[in-house]
Amino acid sequence: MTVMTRPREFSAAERLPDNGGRPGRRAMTRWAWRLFRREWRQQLLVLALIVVAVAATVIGAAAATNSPPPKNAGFGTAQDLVTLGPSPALAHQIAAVEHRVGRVDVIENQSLIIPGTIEAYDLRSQNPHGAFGQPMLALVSGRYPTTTSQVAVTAGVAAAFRLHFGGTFSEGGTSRRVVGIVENPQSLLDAFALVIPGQVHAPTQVTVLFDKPPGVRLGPNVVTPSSVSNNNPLNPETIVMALATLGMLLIALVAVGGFTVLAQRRLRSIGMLGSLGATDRNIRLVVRMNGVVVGVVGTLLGAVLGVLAWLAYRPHVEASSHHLIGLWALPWAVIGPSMGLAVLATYFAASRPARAMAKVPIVTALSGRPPSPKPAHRSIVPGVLAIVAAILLLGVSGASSHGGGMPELIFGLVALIVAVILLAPLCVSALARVSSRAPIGLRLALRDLARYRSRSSTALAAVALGVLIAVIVAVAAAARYGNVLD
Amino acid sequence: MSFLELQQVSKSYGEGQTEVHALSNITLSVDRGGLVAVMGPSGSGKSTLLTIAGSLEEPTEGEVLIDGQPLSSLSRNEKARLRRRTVGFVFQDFNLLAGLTAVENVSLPLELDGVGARRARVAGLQALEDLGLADRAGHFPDELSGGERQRVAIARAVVGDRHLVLADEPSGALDSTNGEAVMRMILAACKRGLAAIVVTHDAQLASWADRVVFLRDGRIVDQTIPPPSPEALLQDVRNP
Repeated sequence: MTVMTRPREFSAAERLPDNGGRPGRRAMTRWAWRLFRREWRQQLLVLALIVVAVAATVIGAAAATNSPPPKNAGFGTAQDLVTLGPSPALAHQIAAVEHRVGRVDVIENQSLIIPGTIEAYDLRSQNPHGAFGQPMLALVSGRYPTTTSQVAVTAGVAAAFRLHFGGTFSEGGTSRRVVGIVENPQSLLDAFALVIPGQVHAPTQVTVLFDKPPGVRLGPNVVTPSSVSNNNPLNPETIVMALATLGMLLIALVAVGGFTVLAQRRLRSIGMLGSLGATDRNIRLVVRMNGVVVGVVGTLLGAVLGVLAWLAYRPHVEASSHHLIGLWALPWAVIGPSMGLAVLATYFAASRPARAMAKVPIVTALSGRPPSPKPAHRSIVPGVLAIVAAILLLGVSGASSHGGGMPELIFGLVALIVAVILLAPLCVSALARVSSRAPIGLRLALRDLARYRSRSSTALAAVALGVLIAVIVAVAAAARYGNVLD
Repeated sequence: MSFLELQQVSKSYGEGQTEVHALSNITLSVDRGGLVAVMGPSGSGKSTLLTIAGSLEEPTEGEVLIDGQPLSSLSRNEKARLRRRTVGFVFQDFNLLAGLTAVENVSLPLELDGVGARRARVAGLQALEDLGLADRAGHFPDELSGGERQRVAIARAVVGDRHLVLADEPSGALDSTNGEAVMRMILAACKRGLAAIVVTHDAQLASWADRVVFLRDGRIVDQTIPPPSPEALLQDVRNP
């Protein structure tokens, strides 16, 4: 064999001073991706957690934000509405509103009782092609009435009166032919018989929809979507986002242990990388990129799974919330940040083992033996201070009456979470110390946990926080729904 | 002038009663183009000698100079740069990175040094071609035979403009034919100016070196200049 190894000079301009710059980062990222492709089964736990968390966030956020009636329910596309009662001057009132605001859409309702029942329905006159009311009316089958002798009814009215296409609907001595089935997409419980405008002779309620021109002042009986919506800052989006944040924190705590184990399995490769001239920064980048890759893949899979599950679950939500929900009516403002949060969680979870791996001497890493854990001499004072603060704040929160104490409750819970994380290593050590009389298997397990408590304590903290959340939910639910008469 | 110099290098591990002296007062130099074989029983400090010479470990006492530059004066990042540019390692068990193809393994030190991926790949392919592995460039390490893996490792150790190759039992996991081939490649690299230290248990392979150093209990107990290698003898016959 002829060996012709020749030196190939690379100029200083071709080489970057430290860490290899962009080519170095690309090489590390490529390797992290290839390792993920080869060894994704070893990261299944973290991957599954991310997938489930993101999928649950997508479904939870979609259900939570779509379950309440839409903010524009009852308004159609209008920004304002005024409701008028029966009055001899009704026509003048409507004309006055129209005179001041311009274009209006009038919906007249006459409340009637279904014979033989206590259930009500409306005889409604509404222009299906009106300026503002179109989102409140949809044709299920047939067509809209176009003459005084025609009517379209909702499925509920049709069932109550046993009506069918071409059948006759009689009310107040007037008979009309049924030409269609209609519904109110914003309220599926809305039962009505639709006639052409002007055919409701004794309306019990008239809704006038309009857009108030700028500068026009109207009376206090005019309402807008924002005036009727819930102004509570704890809206569904906020609650789902808070839960997603907490969930990602738990996943990050579990993932720290997973990434640490994985990094130690790759110790020899990391040592090899060091012997090739990789800097500490390069090594940290490989481990962190591994976390990011797991996060990105898990997030994308979770999002796809969540959307598919939502598409399957959406009809049930529509049925229970009594309004139609758009196919893609997903709260992207919640889902997007949650996906970003999942990637961030894995990045930060991988950061700790990344720092640890960069500190392992190259020769030790090349030998493949994980370095002996150094005894940790961490003070328990911060943990104790946090738990004392949590007890005090939660105590003050519980003692306050008239629904106050929300800031104390929030800060108390945050302090409790911090205390659990800080005190978890101490608990692992304490368990190992009291295990001297335990069976050998349990004793070995506990001592091993204490020996590697940097990763076992994060898992313990995650489990403890998971139980804490379950207890809070159970206690809150018991307090809220404990009264059967409520 | 020597390219690699170890001056009174000692290395000990542990403290107190558990202290172990891996190396004691080692003084060794390797010139450009020189090949030094290190032999000795297990635990004699051969591998420690290599890791200290290659800046993977720091000596407890003494100084290591590469191209006249004392390693003790270099920061961690500067040592990493030195390993990327000047020192190449060859290990007994190849230590190729799984997940990277042969050519990616070879070009990795260049990419870590900031050379663009395309340029680094070209250099990697050239190094593999020089060692007769061009057709295996796209294969992953677990698709290569032991001899091929070690040749990839050698290509990685010499790619770019490295000047020092440190090989720890490079033929330890290979049969005699492949072992000889590996030694021939290292010798060829030396002939174009690289300095090399090869740790080996095989006296026959050590006889290829310009000098053989014997280590025992961390000390150099003997140094010999071996008789001319078979190749040198053949060369003498061809060119009397």
